[in-house]
Amino acid sequence: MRFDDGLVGLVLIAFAVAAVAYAQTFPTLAGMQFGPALFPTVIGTGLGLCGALMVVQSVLRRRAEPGAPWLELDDWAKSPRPWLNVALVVVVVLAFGLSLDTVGYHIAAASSLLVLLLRLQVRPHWSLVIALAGAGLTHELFYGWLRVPLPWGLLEPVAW
Amino acid sequence: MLDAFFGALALVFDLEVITVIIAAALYGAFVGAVPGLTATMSVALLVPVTFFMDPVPAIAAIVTTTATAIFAGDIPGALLRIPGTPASAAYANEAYTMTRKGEAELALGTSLVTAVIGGLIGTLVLMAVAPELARFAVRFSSYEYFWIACLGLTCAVLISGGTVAKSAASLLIGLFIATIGIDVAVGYPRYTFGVVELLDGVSFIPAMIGMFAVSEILRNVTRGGPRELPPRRPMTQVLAGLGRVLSRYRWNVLRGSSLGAVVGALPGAGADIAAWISYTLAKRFSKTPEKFGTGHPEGIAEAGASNNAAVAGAWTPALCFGIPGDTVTAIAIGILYLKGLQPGPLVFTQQPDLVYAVFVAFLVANIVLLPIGLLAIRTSSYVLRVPTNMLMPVILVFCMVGAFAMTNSVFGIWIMLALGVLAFLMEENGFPVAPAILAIVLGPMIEDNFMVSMLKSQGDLLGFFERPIAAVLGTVTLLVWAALVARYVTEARRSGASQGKAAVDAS
Repeated sequence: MRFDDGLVGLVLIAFAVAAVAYAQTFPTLAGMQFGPALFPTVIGTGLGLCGALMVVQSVLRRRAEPGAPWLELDDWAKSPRPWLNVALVVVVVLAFGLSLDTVGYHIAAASSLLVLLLRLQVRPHWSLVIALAGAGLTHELFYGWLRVPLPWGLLEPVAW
Repeated sequence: MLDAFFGALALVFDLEVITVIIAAALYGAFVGAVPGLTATMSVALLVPVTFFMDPVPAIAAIVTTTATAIFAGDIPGALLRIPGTPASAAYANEAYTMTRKGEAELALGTSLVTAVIGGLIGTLVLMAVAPELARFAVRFSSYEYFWIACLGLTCAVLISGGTVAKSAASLLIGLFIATIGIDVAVGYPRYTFGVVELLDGVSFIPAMIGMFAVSEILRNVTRGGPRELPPRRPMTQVLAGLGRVLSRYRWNVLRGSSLGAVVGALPGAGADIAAWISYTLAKRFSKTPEKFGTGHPEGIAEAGASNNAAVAGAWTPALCFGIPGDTVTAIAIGILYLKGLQPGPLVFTQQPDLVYAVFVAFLVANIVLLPIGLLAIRTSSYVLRVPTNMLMPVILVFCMVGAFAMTNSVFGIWIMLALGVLAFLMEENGFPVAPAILAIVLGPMIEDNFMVSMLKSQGDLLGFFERPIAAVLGTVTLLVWAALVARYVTEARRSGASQGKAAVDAS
């Protein structure tokens, strides 16, 4: 999935302008010529410049080959299935993070595993085994061995 | 120096550390051998675990994992023509052709033994060069550090393989991420938008896990479909006939190892670039260049030594200046920072044990590589059958719990997700990710030294060139910038000459 360099360049320019403008609100200590805004301003300016360079390259290219596509899709990106996979990974991470404290690590991890494994066409019985074992083992490693305070959530009554 | 060396031996030859090394070697061999899981990813996943270890076992684990993963990447390269890590890409075709000729054992044996030799020579170079460089670097002030960090980042842009504009943009994105949080000069919260967790900046390790592991998972789930299975063949004769090959190509191995050690030390250039250069050199200077591509071990011997030597070489600037030589050392430096250790010339005088422990860990890791590598080759037909669709969800859960463990809050998971998606989009659009990573690590160091230098010189930029070493470093940096501008002009001309697509593809 490759967007035209010019479009990406414009996004970079917009971002750089916003970042630099916001940096100008940072305070400078009295008697100093520069402060916290200096470095972000330098970086933002550079980023805007890179964006501009990409726009120039894109314009030159379009002059040479008019009608070049604005968005080039690789083979994988032409069917919906891989896109759904990407979206599902993002959704699973969001759901895991949002539900972790309430439902607890075991349930959040096992259900994340189960959903993804089934989606990636692992057989149901294997998915179930991997989901339960994976949640249990990672809990043992991080909570048991490394002492990371993973939340128990709904399983609080059986916590150890 | 000898005291420190023996002190380090005692530190490394401890039951816990040796166990860690062997476990890390097995882990590295597995991750390296599975196509789609890179050496950097293996280290990023390891970080949450090493975070809870003492510095020496933590470093030993990282060093061993990288060394074995870089070798193990050759296994699927030879058997399936799918390089397990980018570092094996240079000669995967050659090794696969040997497999087709029935010489899989010879191909893998060559790459294993040359990897061990290359790794050992690379370590020796590191041991010889690093203390000298550190002695030199003790005299550096903020000006020199500013320039050397700039030079490092500029090299990363130069070598990263994207177009100039995209590589530079990647670098600046990394620097921008590094500015988030309390600023170094007056303690003003920048770009935090009231989020308390961002005051300390973007947590480094969740960021790494996102950029290297989550982005890799996203890429993997888009490329579904069954993978080719390796031929079932008994790999028992791995070391047979190897003596002949090694003695014939001993100079290749030596040249590959030395070149790898040097290339690895350049910031942004790691094992993969070292292997490409060495393979090309081997062909260029070969007496029989026509045999390259037909299953000829010469290039494998040279490039196989080169990529493992580069793993050690990357530690040279990391230990001496605190500037990572590749993405793995970027992660390692991040861990050392978290443990309150600041890599740089002072480490050599204040904590020589630690420095020598890195050296000893490298020596041990490369010696352990031989038996573990043989084991990996023996069991390769099983490892390569492990289905990726079962692995990816497990790795994702590992990433999430690892990111959580770093911050002890869900916020680490959000950082991981945001940067994972960012890295995925960047790579899809031809932005190399390595410059961004180096910039996230080096950002605070550059800004610190920049602000201190600006205060010292009262805002006079000429002050950056007043000290002799700073002047040299600064001039070299500016020359590299000029080279980048020249390259951009060439790129732009080429895209104007209707070969735009070719130019972009070639990069």
